[in-house]
Amino acid sequence: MNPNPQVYGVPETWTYSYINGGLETDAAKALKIQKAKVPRWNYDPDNVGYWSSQLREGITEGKITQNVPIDKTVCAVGMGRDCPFATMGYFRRRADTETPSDVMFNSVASVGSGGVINGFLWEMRDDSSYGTYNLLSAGGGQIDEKQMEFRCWAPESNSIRNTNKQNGNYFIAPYTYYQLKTFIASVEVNVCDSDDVPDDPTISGVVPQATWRPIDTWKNSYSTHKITGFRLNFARANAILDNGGRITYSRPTPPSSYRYSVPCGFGLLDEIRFDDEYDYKRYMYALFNDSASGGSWNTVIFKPFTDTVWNSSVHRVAFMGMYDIFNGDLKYLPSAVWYQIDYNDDVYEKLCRAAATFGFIFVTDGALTLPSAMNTDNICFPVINDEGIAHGDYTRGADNLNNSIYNADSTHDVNYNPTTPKDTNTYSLTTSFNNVGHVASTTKAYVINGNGIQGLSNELWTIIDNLLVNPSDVENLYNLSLDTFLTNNPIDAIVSIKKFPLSSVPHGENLENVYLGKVQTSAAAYPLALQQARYNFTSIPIFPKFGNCFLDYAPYTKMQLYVPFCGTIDIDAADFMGRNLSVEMVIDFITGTVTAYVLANQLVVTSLTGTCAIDIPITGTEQATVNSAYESAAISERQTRASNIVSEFAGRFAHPIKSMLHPISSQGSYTKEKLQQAASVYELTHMNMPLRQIGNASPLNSWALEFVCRLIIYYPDGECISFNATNEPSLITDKVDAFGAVNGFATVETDALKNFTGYTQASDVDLSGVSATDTEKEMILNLLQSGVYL
Amino acid sequence: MTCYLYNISADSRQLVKVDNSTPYTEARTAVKPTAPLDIITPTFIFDYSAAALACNYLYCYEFERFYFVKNIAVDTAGRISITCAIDVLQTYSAAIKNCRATVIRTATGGKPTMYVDNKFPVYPSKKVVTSTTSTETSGSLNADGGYCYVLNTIGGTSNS
Repeated sequence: MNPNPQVYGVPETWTYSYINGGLETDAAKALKIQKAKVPRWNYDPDNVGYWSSQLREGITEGKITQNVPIDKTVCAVGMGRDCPFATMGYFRRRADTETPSDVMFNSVASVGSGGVINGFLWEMRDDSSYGTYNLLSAGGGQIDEKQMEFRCWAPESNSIRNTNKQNGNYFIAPYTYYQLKTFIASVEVNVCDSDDVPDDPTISGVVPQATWRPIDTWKNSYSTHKITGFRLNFARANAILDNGGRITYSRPTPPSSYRYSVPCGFGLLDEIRFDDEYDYKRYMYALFNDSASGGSWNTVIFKPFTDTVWNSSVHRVAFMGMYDIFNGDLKYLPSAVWYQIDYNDDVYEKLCRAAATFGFIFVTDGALTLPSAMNTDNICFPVINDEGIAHGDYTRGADNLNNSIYNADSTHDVNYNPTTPKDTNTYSLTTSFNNVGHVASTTKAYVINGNGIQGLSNELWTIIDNLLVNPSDVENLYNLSLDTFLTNNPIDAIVSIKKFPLSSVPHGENLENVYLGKVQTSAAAYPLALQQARYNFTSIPIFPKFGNCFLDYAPYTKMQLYVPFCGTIDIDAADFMGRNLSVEMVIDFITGTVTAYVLANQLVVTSLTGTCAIDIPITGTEQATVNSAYESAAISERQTRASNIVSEFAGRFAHPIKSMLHPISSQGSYTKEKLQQAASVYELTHMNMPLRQIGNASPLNSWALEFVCRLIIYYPDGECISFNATNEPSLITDKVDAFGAVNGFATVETDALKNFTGYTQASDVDLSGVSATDTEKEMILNLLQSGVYL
Repeated sequence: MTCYLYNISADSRQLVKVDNSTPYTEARTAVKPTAPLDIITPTFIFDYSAAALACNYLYCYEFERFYFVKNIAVDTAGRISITCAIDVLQTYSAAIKNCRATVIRTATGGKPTMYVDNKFPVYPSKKVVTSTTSTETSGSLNADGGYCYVLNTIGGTSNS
């Protein structure tokens, strides 16, 4: 967004506030408020009207149109016709008012005729003393019409007074840069403490007792009370957003020698309206009550005027834009109506909408001192249209997230568009991987070699054999008890044995004895170090073979990628052209599964899954399963094998195992019947054991293929294409040239025909500039569309 | 009327076929039209000339236009009549070059572009296949490893 240089000059002429007077402070800089450079605030004959003349000229010389925003980019605060300021006037009570029908207004400071400039954020200073701000508080004490004109915001040529040969507009400095979240306004109303308010508070000495409260407080707690005023109380927001998107508010604490280091005015918008019928003119005034003594700094007060003279400590203005709330007309305006407004939801909404027209973020619960997230219910955002004008609509709470202000930082944001939220996504070209640590479980995982497995199996059989012959020895040696193996079958203490296609599965440093249940065997193995490991494959740079033309991409060039244990996947050449294709393979050592991530440079594009581990049979049943793709062994055969393991153990232990295996007893011998009974029990307890690999392709099959990733590329063939010994293609230059000379190559380009050579065919041509007859032009077009040689 | 006769071999779709340096076969003046003459398909009458019989291209000075010779007829009274058709490309070649157009085929690049070219000679079904490999960087993949078995058991202390 760039403020109109015709009005404001080029950006080189802007500066942070102004040197003297306190604006050039860190606070002002933090607010990033900029205004046109002015050499000095005081009288400078060489620079009188330096920048204001541009504004004046804008009005008088037609550069600025009345009632039309100059430039939405300079509409710092978004105020428009609907803003109360647009129809605000300054009134002084007529000293001779006697009847209600008399107009209340004594005199109104004139700002002349003509329009005003929309959307400026102004600062005004008194012309009486150098180095001070003196807005409507009139610190200098001058209260006359001429002086009042200096307090006009509209840089009207007619309003310029040459008091002391100074240009009245000299002191008006428009702010051209503004951070949208710099100011937060609290909507407040002046709530009467009681209903006992005189009907005519203009009676000398009688002033309604009222307290400024947030409008929500009026609504929730004092809705039976009337209000006598409305204001926006401002705080400077730090405009710092934390990760939660919260704005923090704070009030600046300037040194006592400084005025408040914030802009002290509003840009006024809309044309000046004239109401000749009432013989007065409504003008727009800024209402900053900037008192050095503290007071209600940065406060905009909309309060009816009561005094007969301008009183610097009590501002009075007529809020013309809200006269409908006052339920009066401008001609009549009985003062009683001015001062007292009853609560109803309609009034509440109108006041909030009035606040929204200023274009500032505002709160209705008075929470100006606490950090708040921008999507909380106490915060309201004005809705600003594409002209940069706020018309009273606003969002609240969660709806703020859809308001374009939410993502905009400042009016100088080149991407700022009042109606288009800024794209706040963060884009990246890399994918990150996690290092997965050990996952706790109730089982124990060992890394063991083939000899270790054999040794374990032998030891298990030794235990069984010795139990049959010398059970006491085995009991003493292994401290057998009812729950030694935690199951009724020592084999079941082995959950799985898997073989991985690796030289070595990552493991701990020290060998340790394998435990089966509570039995410490003599078999040695390493503890499993990680349950998951990642393996990288070398990159395959993908190069175009046909000069990076359509032949290098689908469907002409087709690619497939084979990943070990995972199979084959189609690859889209467009995803990888000019990039490195690589694979990251993640192996799970508990499940034996593998996931292969395919990356284009450092970005994961797709993935494949498979199983790389071979399940090693543990029991005879599993052995039968592995040996044949389709298990068709007789149940009796399985029972016989299984029972060799289970029967005697069952006979050695008491209830409940014994009861499960009744009628097997501790007889120490077995008969065929007992075997069958035992087997039947075994069947009951173990038939649900997964019969692995029946009917499914075993991972062992994938081990037969190479352990490399292979990119298979299918190239197109044709008259203009040749291949080398390894089937890498290239274009035959001569044949391509010959083809191009006769046919040209497909393209879509829009340019002057002089930039093309050889065969050229156009879909459309702009023949302006060809001084031919219509018939001839049609012939030209037809020829160009059918192809010519340039 | 004055006409310049040429004998050219350029393709009719060529934008510029003759220029200032191209020699003309014959310049004929006092061309007499047979009937009302239009600028698109005029017929010029010349006095008989053997050289004129060999021309296939013509420039009319008064019309400031170039023409293809469509037909030559030997007429009576020692005349030949040459029937022409306008060559708009040559006539307006300078202005045409300055026109902006959306070009969909051009030989300018010298090679195919990213736009799919249905005219380019590619066999519709035949593909030629090749492959390249990518190996695991640490050399860990091995069908006959040593400590490559994972034994999962119940009991002992679980892995920490």
